[in-house]
Amino acid sequence: MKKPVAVWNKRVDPASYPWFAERKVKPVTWEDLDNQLHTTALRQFEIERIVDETGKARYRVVRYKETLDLYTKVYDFGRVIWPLYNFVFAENFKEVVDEIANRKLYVFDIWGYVPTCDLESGLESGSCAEYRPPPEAHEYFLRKLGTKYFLGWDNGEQDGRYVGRYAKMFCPAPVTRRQAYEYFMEYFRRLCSDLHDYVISLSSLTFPHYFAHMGNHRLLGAETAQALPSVPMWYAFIRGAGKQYGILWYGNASVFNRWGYYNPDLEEDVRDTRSGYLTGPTVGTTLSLLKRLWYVELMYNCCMMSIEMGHLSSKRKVVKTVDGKTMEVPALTPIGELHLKAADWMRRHPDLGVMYTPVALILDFYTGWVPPRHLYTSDIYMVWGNMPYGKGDHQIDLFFREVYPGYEDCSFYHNERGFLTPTPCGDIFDVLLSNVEEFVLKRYNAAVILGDTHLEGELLEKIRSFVKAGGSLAVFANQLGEGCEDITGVRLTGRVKTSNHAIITTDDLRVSEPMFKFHELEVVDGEVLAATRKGEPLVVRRRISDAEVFTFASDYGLSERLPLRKPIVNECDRPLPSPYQLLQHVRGILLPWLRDFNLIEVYGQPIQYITSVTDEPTRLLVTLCNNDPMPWSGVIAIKGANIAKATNLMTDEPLPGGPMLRVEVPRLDVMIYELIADRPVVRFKEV
Amino acid sequence: MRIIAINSWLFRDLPVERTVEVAASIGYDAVEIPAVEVQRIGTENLNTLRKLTSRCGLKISAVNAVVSFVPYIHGDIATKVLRRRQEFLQQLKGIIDKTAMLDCRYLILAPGPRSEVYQTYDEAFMTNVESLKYLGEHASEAGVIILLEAMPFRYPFRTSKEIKRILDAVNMPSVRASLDTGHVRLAGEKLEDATDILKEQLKYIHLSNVRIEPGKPLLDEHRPLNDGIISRKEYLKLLSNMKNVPIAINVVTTGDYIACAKECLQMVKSLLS
Repeated sequence: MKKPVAVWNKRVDPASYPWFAERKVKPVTWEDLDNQLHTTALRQFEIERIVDETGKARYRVVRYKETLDLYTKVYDFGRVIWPLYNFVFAENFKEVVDEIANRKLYVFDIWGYVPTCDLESGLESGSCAEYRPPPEAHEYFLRKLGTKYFLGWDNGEQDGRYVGRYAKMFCPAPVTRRQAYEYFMEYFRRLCSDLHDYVISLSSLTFPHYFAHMGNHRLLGAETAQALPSVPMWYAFIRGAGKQYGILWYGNASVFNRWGYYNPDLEEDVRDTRSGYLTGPTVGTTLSLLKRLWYVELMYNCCMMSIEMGHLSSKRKVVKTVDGKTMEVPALTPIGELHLKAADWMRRHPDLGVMYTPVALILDFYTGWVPPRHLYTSDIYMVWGNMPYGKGDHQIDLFFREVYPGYEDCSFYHNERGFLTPTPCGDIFDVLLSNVEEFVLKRYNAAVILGDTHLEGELLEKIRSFVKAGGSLAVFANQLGEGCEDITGVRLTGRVKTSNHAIITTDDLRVSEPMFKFHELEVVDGEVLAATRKGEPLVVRRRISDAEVFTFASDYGLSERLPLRKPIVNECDRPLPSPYQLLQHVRGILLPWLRDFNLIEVYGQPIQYITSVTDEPTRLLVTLCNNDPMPWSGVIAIKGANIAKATNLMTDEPLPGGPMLRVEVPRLDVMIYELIADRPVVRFKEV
Repeated sequence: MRIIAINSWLFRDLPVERTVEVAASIGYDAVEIPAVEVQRIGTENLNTLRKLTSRCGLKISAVNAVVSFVPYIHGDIATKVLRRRQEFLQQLKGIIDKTAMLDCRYLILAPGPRSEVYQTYDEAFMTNVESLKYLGEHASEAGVIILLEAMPFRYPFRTSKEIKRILDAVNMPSVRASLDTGHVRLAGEKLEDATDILKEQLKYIHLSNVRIEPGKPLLDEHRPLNDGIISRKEYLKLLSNMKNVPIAINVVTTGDYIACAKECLQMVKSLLS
């Protein structure tokens, strides 16, 4: 019988991280959140501008009790309010905070900071500004709400802003990644200092580790959908950063896309005269994507969920009775209905387990990697916003194209391709940076070293200890430093050769390849899984007890740069070619090995699937997200066990057990199943 | 005699005092120092630096604020956030004073970009002009000339035409222009057009090279002089047109910076001979 797999099944507990006590600005803890998942409500208060006879303006929050009632009582959108900054500058700001405190509501991610925009104009137009919250206001929040209820100021989409606007202003452009990192940090030190170094990140690109590293971020999260990155790839970064630094993360889905924003309240699509965007019932993010994002991000273990806006109708009213009072209030829009339904589902299913991500993708601390194309610049293949991709960055990109197919197209296609993707290997990856602590790394079952990351020094020591403790590893020969031989079982001769083929030795199968470079390996202890026809090893596997270490001889597992007849261009509704290829023999060995780390098997057309482990060794949750406009039908099975009992958690309908479960997922929809195995399938790690 | 200077940032982490010695040993006439370095040095040590420079037979050709200050992050002269602009202008006044103490004639500055919202092109233009008038008065008293240089990624004032418009509006002898050959090309201009536009207002030239290839991002790389799209012929034409204007080699390298400094100097001398 198959031995149960050792898994890490504990959610991130910030208070248990060794540096928690020392941190001046502490991450939000589960205790702060009353050990509950939350949803957010209310994006701004109603503000009145009063101009005196000298022309001086003052501001006053009006009808705040009614507004709070509407969003948290009439409609129970949640206990977390997410307001625009302007109420902080209102003369009755303290009254509002007192009311929030009385109601025990959370204040989350006070938003609207935009560099170089003057405050007076921002307040007048009820829009963004470069503001420094008055110290007395910050203190008042802390005094009345405490760190429990006052969660922080918004570092919102600033990584994208930096990349799109400021990174290239540095003169000269950085020549090293470290310099690029320093430039990046200068921007964020400046920004966070304005916000009292008490912030929450709402990322727009893949930099959450650097925010977490600053020591002043309390939560990590992202504005998903919009014209922003692919969520499975992106949350691999966000979860990884959260786990590496001990910070909880949240999710949010935006109604915007590249071309406009969804407003189900309108009958026709129209141009919004204020913002210039197209808006209406058939532009912006679709309702089905909003729903899938909600449940997927929830199953990614977000501690808080939200939809950006559009919950209430500005046209339709309904009569409601609350606390014995009958009143006419705005009706719900389909967005509001989705939010309330999902929040109710969360309340009824509080034990959603811990997403099972057994594979760590390790990038160098200074990587600064971002997807090859994104919203903030027409430039392609850049890191840090001001350095071109190196070959290692292309490796990261091509790896993600395999495990999240279409991720690089996210936001560039009208059909919403790429926001969520199938996961041929399962949604099983977290991204960690090379400075990760050993105790965090040991919570994973395998590590893949990606990009321009060198296995040497401290990282080598951590990896050695990880492998000794049973962790598996995949590494590429050009990433190996001195002294890796005892881990990999191979020695580099220092000679570099080229080839245009590989023979997968286990199947005696020849695969043709574009020209690639490989490092000559001497095998000390290991099995050659692929070689050239002359017998030169291309892939070597060393078994160390239960662990396996794969060494790929090719440079990053990639071809040489492909000759391109025309420069690569970046256009909407068109694919983005890569100047490299992931070699077939690398794909053929690496990807099935990664897929093996899943606890379940999914048979059918490619689909996105997430597995969650729980406190019980027989209980798993499986999320199937069908991002295709065709209904999906297929089969799921637990590896090494039969299904004793199953439940469709979306409907709470019991399903028959057996060796496999046949399921159907409607088009562009998401399903979550509880599977009870007939024997333990996991045992729990203690690190 | 035309002064040939080297920007001290080529020498990466070398202390400025050591940079002066190295530049002298290679054969440069002057060094250009980033403003942030000047800010860091206390008043009493400025005198020491001045003496050291003089002892090495060198001058300080310019203090460069363009490389030290990035808009918003460190400050800029056009920001609509009044408090920030005032703070930055005070900083710059201090730097002008220190520039004078170093017996240095030039302080290089860039126009501020337009704020993200709430500022029209005209407002940003006028804010730049007003800030430069304010600084120009102080510079005039201190015997310093502010040189305005276009930066290719600080929109919208990124071309020689824009610089000329601002200078004409400021209309002060203590506010003039410099140009960087790499910046000019990144902004889509030809070197000869830029010098034609700026004419006698151009008082200082930065030499750097740049790569511009279809499908590749544009970057302010400051490549060594022989490594990019600007040819020897173009440099030669520029230097012939702008006789007696001081030049500063404004490059960086990931390789051997001493060798790079020597090669660039050799190339410039061969162009001038």
